[in-house]
Amino acid sequence: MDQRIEKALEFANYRATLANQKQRLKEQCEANLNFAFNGGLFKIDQTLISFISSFVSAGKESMVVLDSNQTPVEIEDLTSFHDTITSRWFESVNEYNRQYQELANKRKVSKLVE
Amino acid sequence: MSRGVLMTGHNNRTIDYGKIALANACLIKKHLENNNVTLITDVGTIEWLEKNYSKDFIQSKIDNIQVVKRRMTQNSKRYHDTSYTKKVEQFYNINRADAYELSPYDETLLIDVDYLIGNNILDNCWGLKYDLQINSESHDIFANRKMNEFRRIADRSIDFYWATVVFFRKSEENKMFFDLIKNIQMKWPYYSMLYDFIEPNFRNDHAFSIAVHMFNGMQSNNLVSRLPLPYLEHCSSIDDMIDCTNGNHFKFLLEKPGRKGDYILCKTENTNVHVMNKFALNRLADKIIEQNK
Repeated sequence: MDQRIEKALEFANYRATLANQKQRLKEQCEANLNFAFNGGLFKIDQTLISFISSFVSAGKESMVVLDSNQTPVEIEDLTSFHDTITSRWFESVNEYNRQYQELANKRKVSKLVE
Repeated sequence: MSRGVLMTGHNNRTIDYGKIALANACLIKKHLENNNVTLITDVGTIEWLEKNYSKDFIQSKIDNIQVVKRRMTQNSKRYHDTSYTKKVEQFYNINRADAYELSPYDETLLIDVDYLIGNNILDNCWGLKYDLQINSESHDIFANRKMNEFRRIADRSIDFYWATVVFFRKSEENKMFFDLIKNIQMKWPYYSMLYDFIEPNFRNDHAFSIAVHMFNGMQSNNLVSRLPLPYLEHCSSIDDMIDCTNGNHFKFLLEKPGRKGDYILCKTENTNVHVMNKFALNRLADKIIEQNK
């Protein structure tokens, strides 16, 4: 085979592996952002954090929030809930970012799955 | 309130489900907080396991072994070992419906032996107020490969639910749920016709899907909650699992769609993976056990 084609196919394989590994990291982060609290199941995302933040800033101490199944869950200590979800968010997303950057610097298929 | 993980594993002539269960029990002990493990198995499987591993070691990983009679069935299944090999074998692990009665726990996490535990996310299920948790979605770890067969149990039928991982608390309602599954199993030809999939062999996933549908009042809604995982993750039986390190790093060769024998490498980290290639699991089980003793 023409060496140029061979090189291009090798690169295509690298790109396919890279794309898949990036997807793995994203899904790992999504799984880590699921959170059980007071019997409810929450998916921590920007919307939930800003929603809760706005009520914490307004001085609200407790409230009822709908979880992932749209079931009402009573949050008695809103500030503590806010702190927990934000810290979980930072932990997961920072880890995602760290691993993503690591991946982006790897130029060989074997390195991508090391 | 007693809590634990329940697995069922019955060997056939080819697949050593007992060994795979032991390997997964090692991972469960390593990653999960509520890691009491019960294995439902049969005399042949456990005797075979004890030939290869000491009784003490098995007991240190599997707290409770319940021996039941292996049912002789005409339930054969095609087992693939990548695209190149396949073998038709008896599938004996169809006693999921008995899990409610056989579980010694008040709160049970029922998992397939081939659902390898690589993180502690499932520990969250105990804290949820939902008495029955089951997922309808599973992602292929090869992101480009979409399999429609796992969206619905048939093209014109109901949503697909994965019996691979199910959480349940002992309650009147859940007793009814498992009784329903028993009934579906008993009248399998009728239900397969009613739900418009013609499948002569009993499939746990299909039975659970039908039960969830009926339990939801014959509607598609979220009365039955998902597990604290947005979706399960799986690799197909045409893929190969080639390595495991630290009990949470798994490596796979994933076949590209429509390109037999052309693979990409994939690594998962801190992820639970449903590995459908049982031959690959058989090959790696010893290594997993050795690493996570």
